[in-house]
Amino acid sequence: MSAQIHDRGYRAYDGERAGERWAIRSLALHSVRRALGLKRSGRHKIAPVLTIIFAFVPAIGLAAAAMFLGREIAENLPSYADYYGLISFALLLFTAAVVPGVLTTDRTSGMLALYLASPLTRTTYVVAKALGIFAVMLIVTLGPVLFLVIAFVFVDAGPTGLEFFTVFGKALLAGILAGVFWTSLGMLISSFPKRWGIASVAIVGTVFVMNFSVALLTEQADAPASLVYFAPPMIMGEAWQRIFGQFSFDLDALDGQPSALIIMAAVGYTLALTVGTWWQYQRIEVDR
Amino acid sequence: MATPVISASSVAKSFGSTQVLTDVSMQVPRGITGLLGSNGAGKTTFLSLVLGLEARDGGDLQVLGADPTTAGPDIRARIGYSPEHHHLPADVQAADLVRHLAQLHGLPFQASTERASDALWMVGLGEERFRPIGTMSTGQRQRVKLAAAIAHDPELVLLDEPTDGLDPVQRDEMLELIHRIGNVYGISVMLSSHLLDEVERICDHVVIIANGSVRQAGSLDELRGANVGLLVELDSKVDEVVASLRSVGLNVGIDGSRLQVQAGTAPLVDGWSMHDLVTDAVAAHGAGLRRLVDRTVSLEDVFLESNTPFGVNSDTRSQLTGAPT
Repeated sequence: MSAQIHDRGYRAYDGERAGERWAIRSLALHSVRRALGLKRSGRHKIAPVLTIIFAFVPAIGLAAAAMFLGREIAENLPSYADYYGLISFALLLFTAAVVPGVLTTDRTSGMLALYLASPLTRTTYVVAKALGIFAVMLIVTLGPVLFLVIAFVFVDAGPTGLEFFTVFGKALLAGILAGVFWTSLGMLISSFPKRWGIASVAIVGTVFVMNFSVALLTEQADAPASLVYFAPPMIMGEAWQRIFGQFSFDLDALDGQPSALIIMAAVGYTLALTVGTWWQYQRIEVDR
Repeated sequence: MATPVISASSVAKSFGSTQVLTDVSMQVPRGITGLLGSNGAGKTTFLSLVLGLEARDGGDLQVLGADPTTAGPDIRARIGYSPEHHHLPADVQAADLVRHLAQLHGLPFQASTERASDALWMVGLGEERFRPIGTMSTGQRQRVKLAAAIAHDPELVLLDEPTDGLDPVQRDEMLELIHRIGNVYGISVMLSSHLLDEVERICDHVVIIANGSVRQAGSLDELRGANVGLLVELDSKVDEVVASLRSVGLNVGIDGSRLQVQAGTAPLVDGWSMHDLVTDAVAAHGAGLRRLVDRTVSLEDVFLESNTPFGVNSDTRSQLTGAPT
C-alpha cells in the first residue's frame, strides 16, 4: 500500500504581527548569515573564515609573545595603534569579497523586489543591510583590538587602572569608526554594479588607485601635502593611529596634518559614504 | 457593496516624459480580480502604486482602506506579492526563503517556520521544500513565489503574470491553486495577466486596462451581459429586416446573412422583448429565418471592443489569445 499525503489545509494566522523594526532586525540577521556564509555552500565560507583568521592571528600572536617573552619585550611589539596595519589586508578582503555578495545578489536574484514589497522601504532596507554588514565587520575592526587590550591585561603587559578604560574606549572608538567606514565604502561601491565580481574588483581598484596615486604624487611629484585628504582609506588608517595618539610614519605628507583634522576627515568621509549609499538606493532601479 | 480592497480614482503616473497611467479609476471588490492588458499597458506600474513602491502623480488610491503612499509599510504587511520575474536566490532552500519573507511580513520565527512549511505543502512542494531553488524548474519556482506570497496570511495577494513560462499542465495546476486561494481560503487576489482565457477561467471580476486607462471594469457576468443580444440568421430580405429593427431603436450589426442585434439607446416598448421585435420584423417582411439564438460574448470580444478605437491589431490579438498571427 502506498503512502498518502493528506491535504494539510490552510489556516488563517491570527497571532502576533510585528512591525517595521522586526523586519529590519530579520533582514539584518539574514545579512549576517549571508556575510558569514552560513547555510550556504563551502565556497561562500572561505572569504569570511580567512578574514577572521587574518584579523585574529596577529592579536593571538602578540598576546602569546607578551605572555612568554615578558613585559619589556612586549612593550616593543606592535600594539593597538599599529593593529590597523595588521588587519588592513583582512579589511580589504572582507570588504571586497563579502560585502558585494550581501548586496548585489539581492538585485540579480530578484530579492530586492520582494524585500521592497514587504514592510521594508528603500531606507529601512539599506539600514538593515548596513547593520548586518557592520556587525560582521566589527569582528575584524573591533574584535581583535579589544581581544588584544584584554589579553595584554591578563598577561600583565597592558594598561592598568584608569588607563585601561582610556585605552579600551579608544579601541572601541577606532574599531567602530573603521567598521562604519569600510561598511559604507563597500556598500556604496557595491550599489553601482549588479555583478558581485565587478563590485569586488571596483572596491580593490578604488582603494589601490586612491592610496597609490596620492602616495606617488606627494612623495615623488612634490604635490601639496593636503592631497592626502583625497585618499579616504589612507585617512581612515591614519585616524586610527591618531586616536591612539600615534603617527603612522607611512607618508611624510601625513606627518604635518593635525590629528583633529585627520579624525574629522575620517568621520566626514564615513558620513559622506553612508549618505551616498542611502541616496544611491533611493534611485536604484528594481526589476519587477 | 462591501468595502473594496482597492479603490482608485483618476490615478496617473508618468516616468519622465512617458505617461504610463493617465486615468485609472476602479473599485476592486473581494474575490479574484483579473487585471487585464497587453504588455506595456501599465499593469505592473499599477501594482507598484498599490504596493506604495512608487508615488502617483495624481488621483486618489486606497488599498485595504489606507493610502499606500503614506501607509506603505502597514499595507505591505497585509499584502502578498509575486513578481513577474523568475529569478530567486539559487543557493537558498525554498523553505528558508518562504520563512524569511514571512518573518519580514511580521510573523515571529516559530510561526513563520510553520507557515512556510504549510504554504509549500499547499502549493505542492512539501516534499521539495528543502531543495535549493536553483535546482527547481520554472513551474516549481512559480509555486515557491506563490507560497511566499501567501505564507503570512495576507488579505490581498498581487500576482504578476503567475503562469508565465509554464507548460499547459503546470498552468492548469497554477490556476487551480489561485482559484483555491481566492475561493476557499478567502484571500482576495489581483491577478495581472495578458492572457484572456486564464482570467476568464478563474476571475470573478475583471479590470481591462489599455494605454494607461481603465477601459472596462466589473464582474465577468456584467461585462459579458453588457454585450448580450441576439444572433439572427436569415436566408432572404436581410436589408428590409435590418431597416425595421433599426427603426424601432435596436442596434444591428451585419455579417452577410447574420445579424447581431443589441438593445439601442431607446427603451423597448412595454411588454416587448427583443425576440418579439425580431420575429415580428421577420414575419412582416416574409423573410426566411434560419437561426435565432442568444448572442454570448467572450472576454476576448469585450477586450477587443474596449481596445478597437485605440488600435488593437492582429499582433495584439495573438498576444492576448495565444493564437498565431
